[in-house]
Amino acid sequence: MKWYKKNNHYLLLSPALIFTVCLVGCGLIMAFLESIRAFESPSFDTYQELLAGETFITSLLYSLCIALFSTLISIIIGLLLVRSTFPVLKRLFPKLIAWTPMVFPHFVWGYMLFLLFSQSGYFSSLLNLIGLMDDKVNFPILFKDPFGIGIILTYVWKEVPFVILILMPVYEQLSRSQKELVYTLGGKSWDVFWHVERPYVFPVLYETFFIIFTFVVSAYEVPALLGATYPKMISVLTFDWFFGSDWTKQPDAFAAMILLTLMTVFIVFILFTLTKNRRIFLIQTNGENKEYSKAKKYEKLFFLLIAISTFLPLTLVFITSLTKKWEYGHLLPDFISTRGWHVLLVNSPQLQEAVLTSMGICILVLIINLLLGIPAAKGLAFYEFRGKSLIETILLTPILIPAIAIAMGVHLTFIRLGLANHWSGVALVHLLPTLPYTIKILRAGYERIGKQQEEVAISLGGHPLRIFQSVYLPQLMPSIRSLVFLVTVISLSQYFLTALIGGGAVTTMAILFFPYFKTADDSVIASFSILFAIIPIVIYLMVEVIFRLILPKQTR
Amino acid sequence: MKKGFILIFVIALFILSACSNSFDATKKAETLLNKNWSEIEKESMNKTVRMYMWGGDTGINQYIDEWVAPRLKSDHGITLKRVPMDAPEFLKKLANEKRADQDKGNMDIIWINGENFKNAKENGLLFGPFANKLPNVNKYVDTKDLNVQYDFGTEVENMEAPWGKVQFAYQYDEAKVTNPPQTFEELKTWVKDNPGKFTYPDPTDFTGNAFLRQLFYVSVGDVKNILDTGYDESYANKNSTYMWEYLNEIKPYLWRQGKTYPNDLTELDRLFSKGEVYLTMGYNEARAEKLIEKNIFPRTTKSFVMKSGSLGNTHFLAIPYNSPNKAGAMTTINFLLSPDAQLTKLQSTYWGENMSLDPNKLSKKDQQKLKSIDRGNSVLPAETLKQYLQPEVDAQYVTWLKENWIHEVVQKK
Repeated sequence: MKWYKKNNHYLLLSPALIFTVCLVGCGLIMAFLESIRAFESPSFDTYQELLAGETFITSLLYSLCIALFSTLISIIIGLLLVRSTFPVLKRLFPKLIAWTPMVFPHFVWGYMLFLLFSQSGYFSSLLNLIGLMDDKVNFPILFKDPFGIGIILTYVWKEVPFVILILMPVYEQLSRSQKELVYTLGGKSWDVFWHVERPYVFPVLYETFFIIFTFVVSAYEVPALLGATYPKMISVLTFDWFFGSDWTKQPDAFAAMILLTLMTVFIVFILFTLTKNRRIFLIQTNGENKEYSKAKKYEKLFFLLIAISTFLPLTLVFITSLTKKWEYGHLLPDFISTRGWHVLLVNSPQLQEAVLTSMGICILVLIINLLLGIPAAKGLAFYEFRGKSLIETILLTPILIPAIAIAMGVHLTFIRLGLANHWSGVALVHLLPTLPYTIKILRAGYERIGKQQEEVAISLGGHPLRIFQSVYLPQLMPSIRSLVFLVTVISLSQYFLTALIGGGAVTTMAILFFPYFKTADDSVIASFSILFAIIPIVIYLMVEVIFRLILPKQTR
Repeated sequence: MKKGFILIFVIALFILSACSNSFDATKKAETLLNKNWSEIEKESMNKTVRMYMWGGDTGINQYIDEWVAPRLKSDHGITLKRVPMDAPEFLKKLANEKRADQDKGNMDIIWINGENFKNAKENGLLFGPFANKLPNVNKYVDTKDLNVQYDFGTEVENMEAPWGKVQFAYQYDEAKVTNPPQTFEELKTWVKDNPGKFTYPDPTDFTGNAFLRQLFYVSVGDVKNILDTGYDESYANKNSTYMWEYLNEIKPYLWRQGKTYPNDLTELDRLFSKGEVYLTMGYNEARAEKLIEKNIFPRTTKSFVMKSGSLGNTHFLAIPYNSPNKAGAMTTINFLLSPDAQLTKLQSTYWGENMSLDPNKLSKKDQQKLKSIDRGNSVLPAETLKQYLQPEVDAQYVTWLKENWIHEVVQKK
């Protein structure tokens, strides 16, 4: 009993930790064994060849550059937008609008931007229409260029909403009185940022930086769609090795991923160690609600900017989904038809099954996420202990490691456990890319509420579960809403993991519609993109309704 | 933490211990192949067959879902489930299952050819030999045809059954190109005269690689030189100078000055449909029909083949070693190779792709039906296609071209 009381945090953390260590562990071991050809003639030759070769190093540096730029730009824009609009963004609908780009998988968003900005895209067409440009060749090359502008553009557009999602709770927590104090003492806006906001914002920004950075470094779809022939991003290179016709190249793919993983995990671990102490004071708040000022004019202006950047691609993709023929240089389509929608909704006999399966898996993933994530988040938020940085890093590993690196080991294990080719296995494997976000968001939630309320409640004799239900749960609602949204989106867009673990026996939306993306049929792709985005919104609204029914009124 | 490491260790042992063979499954497979056909058909009654195939073409999907599946159900009591998945992905899945010794998988039929078949066959992922058991193969397929005996230089040995044949063709817009090039030399002149209006997909793509292979055939002089000897890297290195020089010579005149290439055929098709380039290409001589119908390609799209030859290949259906319903798979494949199913596949309503059956072996009635099928204006006459048909070479050349193209063309300034 004493040990339990003293080491409460270990108990809180262990479910999430054991899950992560098991899955990532067996995945990584398998990947490592493959990379040294452990089953034939073990050696480190693959690593030597990779590090000596020009292709790998060029790709690696190129990837790091693109990731660095995408991340920095996203964070700066995200920070500016949140600072200037957060009172508006606090409301449900503005928030949903700002988050909307997140409901589209990355490659879909990339495709939408391609429709807007490519040489024969909408803007080029508009310029031609108003007579500013006579040939589409004169439109600046933004996609498939050697500098990766299109890739960076897509990532920035997609990640800014994520930065907003992560930063919103922090800004809600900031003390207004401290800000006023700085102003009273003659400080400028910059001083407010530096002295009041920075201590709260920076620790969160560091983490956001690494989440986005590692994601961009190892993500495959966007560079595969929008990247140039040379140089290729490291993820595209490893994918070609992994899925290519030459199966002897597989060790190269695994070795490249192991190197990438080692690098990112190492950097993240160092970062966590360095910033560990900066977070401590976050939990010393007592959870008072801050007063909010009314929305000012420029806040609305910035919000308008967010709304435009969300709706512009959306509108275009919607029109494209109904387009039969659209000549270059015309403002609107020449002929419209519903063929794209027809193909998806009428000619897909498995559609109903796919929607239901996707929703079922999604809800299961949400529940397990909450069960594992809530205790772990509390453990990380309220306790200081030895090895905390290590545990934090381990819990984050699933999103630091490229999915194909661990997929093979996980698949082999799941086959043995009888989880492969079954929806339960798919749900479990979807925890990998979602659980780290859940823990992160809930942890921020717990920090915002603070530890003092629990101490008060315990001293008044409250039962732990009762305290959770009546003190923490209601206050965690904003965080839970964010994570419902994020987890749904991520789970739905998983293609590769679902295909491998589900083995075709589990037909989700992604499995059914991904193949259509490999056609030049714009109206089908556009319809698919919209349909794909509607599902997470429906699930989010469903969960919202459930919350409204079961929770007391004042906690909304 | 310690617990975690112990768990990892246990799991690692678990994975490592996966190296024993199971004899039961092999025995069962042997008995199935010794049965006669009516027994096999009977065994497959009221079962489900899961067919894994690339799912990116609505026409092909509809052919399976709307034409094949209902007929299989009524004729053979088989429920056919189509699973859309790319070949490299389902082969990865299958390879893992083999590794984990899973005797009972969930794939019954897979659609493969070329290097995918080579990998699958060499790694023991396939069940068979079964093709010679199928009545329709014995009755209608020309089993002496090299395109049926060899799949990209790999001997088929009845481990897969031919489903269809396609031939490489170029598509162009008649309204923009009046006199399409007939040889690679003419293409070079055309490309120089029309800068920025031609490109080819990255050879990691299936189509881009096929384009290169045809140039490679010209480069080695005669395809026979590489066909008979199998894969010979030093021969390829010595005889590829013409190809690399050719590609480097046209490079500055390509779309975007050859600084980048379309990643796959989809991108090239999109460029063609937007009028950024004037030529596109692809395996399947009738591919333009569907795209014209959907308004993706202009109505004035026509096709041509090069006088130096046009690649043709066969694609096949195979059965994974761990298929839970091998009898059903065989019955289904046999059905897909029936004249009725193949003639429907040829019509442009669904797919528009050539039969794998020998037209001469069909009944009089079916031959008549074959003659009456109009494949569309963009498709070349069968005689022209046949005249320039060339076989595929060893699948290892695919990889060789892919890798060397990067050094020889892309990285050369």
